[in-house]
Parts: sequence; C-alpha cells; structure tokens
Amino acid sequence: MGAGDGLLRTQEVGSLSRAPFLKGDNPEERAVQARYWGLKLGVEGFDDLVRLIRNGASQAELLPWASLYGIRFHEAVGLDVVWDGEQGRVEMYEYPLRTVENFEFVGRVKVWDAETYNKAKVIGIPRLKHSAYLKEFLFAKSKARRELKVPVTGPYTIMDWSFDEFFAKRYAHLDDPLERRRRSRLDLLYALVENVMKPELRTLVEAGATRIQIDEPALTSKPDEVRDYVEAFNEMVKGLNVTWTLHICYSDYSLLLPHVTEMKIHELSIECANRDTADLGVDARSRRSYSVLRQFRDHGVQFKVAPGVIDVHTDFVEPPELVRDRLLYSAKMMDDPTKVIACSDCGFRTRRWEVAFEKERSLVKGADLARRALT
Amino acid sequence: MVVEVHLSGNLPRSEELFRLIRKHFRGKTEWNELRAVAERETIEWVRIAGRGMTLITDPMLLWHDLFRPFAENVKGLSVNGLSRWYDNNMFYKVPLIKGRLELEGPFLDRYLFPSVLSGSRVKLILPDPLTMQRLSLNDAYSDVSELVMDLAEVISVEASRLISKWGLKVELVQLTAPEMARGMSEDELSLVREVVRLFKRRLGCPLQLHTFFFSAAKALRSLLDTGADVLGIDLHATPVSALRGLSVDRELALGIIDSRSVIVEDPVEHASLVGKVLDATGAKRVHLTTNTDLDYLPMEVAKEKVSSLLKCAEHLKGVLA
Repeated sequence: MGAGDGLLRTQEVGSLSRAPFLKGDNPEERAVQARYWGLKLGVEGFDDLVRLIRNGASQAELLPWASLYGIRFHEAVGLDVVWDGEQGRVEMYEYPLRTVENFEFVGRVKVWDAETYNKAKVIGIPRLKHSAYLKEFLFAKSKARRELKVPVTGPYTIMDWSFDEFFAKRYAHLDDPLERRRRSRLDLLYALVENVMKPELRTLVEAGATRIQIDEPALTSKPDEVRDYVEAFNEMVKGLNVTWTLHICYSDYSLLLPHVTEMKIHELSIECANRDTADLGVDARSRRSYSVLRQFRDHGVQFKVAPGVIDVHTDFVEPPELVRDRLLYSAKMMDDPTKVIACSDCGFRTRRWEVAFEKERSLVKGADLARRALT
Repeated sequence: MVVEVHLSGNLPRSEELFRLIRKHFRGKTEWNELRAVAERETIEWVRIAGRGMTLITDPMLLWHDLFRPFAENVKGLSVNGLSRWYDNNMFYKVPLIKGRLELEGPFLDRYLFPSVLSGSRVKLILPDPLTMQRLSLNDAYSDVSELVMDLAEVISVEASRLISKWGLKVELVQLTAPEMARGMSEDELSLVREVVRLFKRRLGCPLQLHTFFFSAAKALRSLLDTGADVLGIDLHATPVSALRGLSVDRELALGIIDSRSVIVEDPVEHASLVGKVLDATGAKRVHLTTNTDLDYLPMEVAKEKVSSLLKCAEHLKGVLA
C-alpha cells in the first residue's frame, strides 16, 4: 500500500529547528550531539560527521548532514511521508526570495511577541533566477526511504508578506485606497505565478517530485482575495501531475469557503491543535477547534483534510490518546475517516529536537490508536 | 487648525531587544537586563518624538500585543493561542475570559516607562473594551454588555492607577478600536457611549477612539454619536470621497502615515489630502498621526515615517497659516 492510500496517513508539515550539531560554538559539544542523534535516528556514517565537526568543518559543509538527519528524524519517528526539516532554508519566506530578482530585504519585523522575519520589498517585475528547491530535492530523493513531500512557499504568501514599492505606483491615481491595494496585489500575485512559481514547479516535477506542498499561511488574511487566489493556483498547477497539498495555519479556515471547493488540490493541511483544549474526548467542547471540518464536508470538498493534532508552539507533549481523540473527532466531522490525514499544526522550527521528536512520536502512536478504534 | 501631532501605537524594537526578549522567555536573561535595554530604546524614541510631536506616547516596547498586559494580569483572564491580527502577518494571543474580571496589584508600569514620559504632554494608548471583547474567547460571561463594562472598568482603573502613581500629564487617552470601524449594533453603540463616559470621568481628559484597517466612512456617523472628543480614521483605508457630506463636529485624528508601507509619504501630497478631508467633512480641528502601530516596519523605516509625519505637520501648518 502506498503512503497515499493508508488510513490516517501520518506526515510532517515542513520545518524542524536547526540540527543540534549546527548550534553552539563548542565543537566537542556539537560532536556529542551529532553522535547522540546519529545513534538515535540510525543515521548511516554518522562517525564521519563527528570527525568533520571535530576537524572544524564549516556550517556549509555540515548542511547536507543536517538534511540527512532531518530525513532520518521523520523516518525514525515513523511518519509515512517525510522531508528534510528544511535544514538548508533560513526560513520559508527569505529562502525562496533569495533566488528571485527584484526583491530587496529591508529589515526584520515582528510576527508575534519576539518572533520576527526579514521582510523584503518588491521593486520591479519578479523573475526566478534559478530554482531555490531543486538541489535540496535531489539530495533528499537520493537519501529518503519513505515518500517525499516538498514544501514550497506559495505566491500569495510571498506577495502578502512583502512590501510593495513597484506595483502600488500603477494605481496611485485611484481615490479608494483599498481598491488601489487590491489591484496592485493581484498584479504582483500573477507576476509571481507566471515568472517564479511556474518555472520553479516545472523544474521540481521534471526532477521527479510527485508530492508538493504549497505553503500559504497568509491565504485567508484578506478574505476577498481567496477567489482570486483559487484561480491563480489552478493556473499555476495546470498540466503538472503532482499530488498537491495546500498548507494554511493560524487562520479562520471558514473564509476559504466556498472557493476552496474549486481548487485543484488533493489535501488541505490546517492548524487546529493550537486552539484546542487538552482534554480527552470526542465531543464538541473538548474538540472546539475541529468543527470547521464539518463545514468542509457540508460543502462537499473532494480533497482530504490534514488537521493539525500537535501544537508546535508549546513544549507540552500531547499524549497519544489526545491525538487519537482529535483524529477520531475529525473523522466524525468529515463523516469519512479516509478523508483525514494526521499531521502537526505547522513546522517545528521553534521547538528543540528533543521536544519535536516526542511530539511526532505521539502523533504516530495516536494515529495508530485511532486506526485501531476505527477498524 | 492642526491641533496635535502624535503616534497611535507600538513602535519597533531593535534586533538586540527582540533577541533579549526571546532569551528572557527561555529564562536566560534577567528581567532587569531586558528593562534596561527597553528603557534605553524608549528614551531614544521619545527623543525622536520630541522633534515635533505635540503629544508623546510610550513606544510600548514590552507590550507584545494590544491586550497582553491585561490578559496576563487581570484575574479572570488568561492568555490563549495565537490568532491573526486582522489581515496582517502579525498575530496576537487571544485573551481567554474564564471568570469574573477583577483587578489585583498594579501592573501597567512593568510594560511601560512612565518615568521617561514625566514632564511631557502625554497620550496614553489603551485597548478599547468592545474590540477586546470581540477578539477574546469568552467562557465566563453570558451577558456580553456586562463583559464590555467590566473590561472598561479594569482598563480604566488600571490606567488611572498608572497616571496617579507616576504623576503623568496625560492630555489625551486613545482607545485603540479597530472593531468600531467594522460597524456596531445599536446596543453596542449605547455600550460604547457608556464606556466613553466612564473613561472620561475616571481619567479626566479628552478621549480618542482610534480606528484603522477598515474604511471609517460608514462607521463615522456612529462614532460621532459616542461622545468621544477625537475620532481616529485610517486614510489608507478610507476614501476621501466617502467622507463627503458628513458633518463632523469633533476633532479628527487623521492616520495619514501608512504604517504598513515602506513608501514614505510626500508632505505636500499628504497636506493636500488633509485639506480634502477638511473640505469633505467640515471638521475644524485635526490631529495628524500614523494609521496604526509602526511596528509593522523595520526600525529604520519607522524612523523615516516618524520624520515624514513631522514634515507633513510642518508643511500643513505652513499652508494653513
């Protein structure tokens, strides 16, 4: 049975924090970390990495090892679909923009509390210089023992998270500032789809990618643009034979409706655990953040839904029984367990590997418990 | 004509301060060390504002989101998961109302630097109780109006404690009220009138209801009926044409500087925009301000925006003189 066919398939969403052996100044401590995780994850040839660290290898030399550890991390936990934890990426926005012309980084801005990102402004028509993802995909493909899903930052999020110093000027003559903004954003979105996303995705597919996750955490931020995005997305993926996952988080997912029903995706991955209770149970009160799945069912969506059953913003390790109940309730909301996938809310970039490992292990165990309850 | 120039929310932190806050969350930096750096940056922002702002605001560098000091300190409230702050790539932690609200010891001065503001004419920025109610998770109150009034009570009492303790010369209080631009029912409007009365009585100074992100055109009629002295509108969301025909007998705080764009406003162009608003509304007195918090911008760009606001004010004063 392929990973795509299993009941309550388990998968990651994308990132892990940097591999522990990349952090800190003390080579001996980093070597100890490399050995510890090498043994724990069953990484082949980890002694070579330990030697490299002790010999003062640069971060760039260690990055392929970090990718390998990321892949083995997810495999060791027992996920069905894996990736390398985005070890080579600074983060999901800055990384792909480094290979796009006419974006300039202007400085760090707050996302919440003290979390920030390096925000860019668009100063001309964006164009892809070269693929941001091909090299890492080819490496992952050569190493992975499970099916791969490549996370790719979507055009809407790139557009929404950037300042616009170019397209906005086209509509400066309009009186309504909201209309000015809507039009200039649409122009930027389509410029990204045509000149950046299409060539990027074609490159990945030609290299053998069969599962691609388009990350669009910003998608519902302007609900009146969801319809435009659905059209842009369908145009972007036209002619590419891929299993498409759309990932969105920390949003009001009901705002996707009804337009999302027209979207050419196979899976929708959403964050839910962050706003759920930690109580056991398959009732509406305990599972208050999963009721949106019923709205998807009521709209007759054809795709599967991957509700996050693990919160990536706390160190609390969800017991497998809690994961089980979240999945069972999701299956109940969809009226069909085959339309549910088990995953975390988002990537684990803000969690230590020890915590992420235990959380993902709980995900796998909880999915197993839920499968037993359903069969 | 232009009566005041001031900012309308949080200002950006330096990268050093962001790093220190993260370290503090992980228990690796002492609170005093963090306060010292935040105070240094507060002094710098207040110095920059002193170049022409007529009212000085605290940059609120330790105030993580609009509701946080209250969500963390008022009995009956706690901090829940992240939620998107309107249409931004910025998030706030949703206040969870789990019991009757009750104030304990004073707390606002842990989030602000009142000593830096002493001697200045101050504008104090607080969350609007209606906005806070709408954006919270309520597991405790069956009567929403009671909840709004209890929020108004705790916010105003805590503000009053801060003002008396530090002897602040507060000459304007802003209730940050983006929800009011989205529209209010008749019941909510009556509630807001009560809230405005309560704040004005308790704090004894003029009150500004500050809206942003949404066109204020439709809401302005209701806002005029709240008893607030100053109405804040976002000119980067409100078309001037939509304001035509409104008879505005209050002071308007015009958010002429777009806190979410790196394009720096041209003083001449924006002075002309202000003129159009005055013509359209008949307003006689205006405040010039940013449409919202400047912490959507990197620090250096925010400084340029502050400078642009001051230039706009200067230019406008010249034109109107």
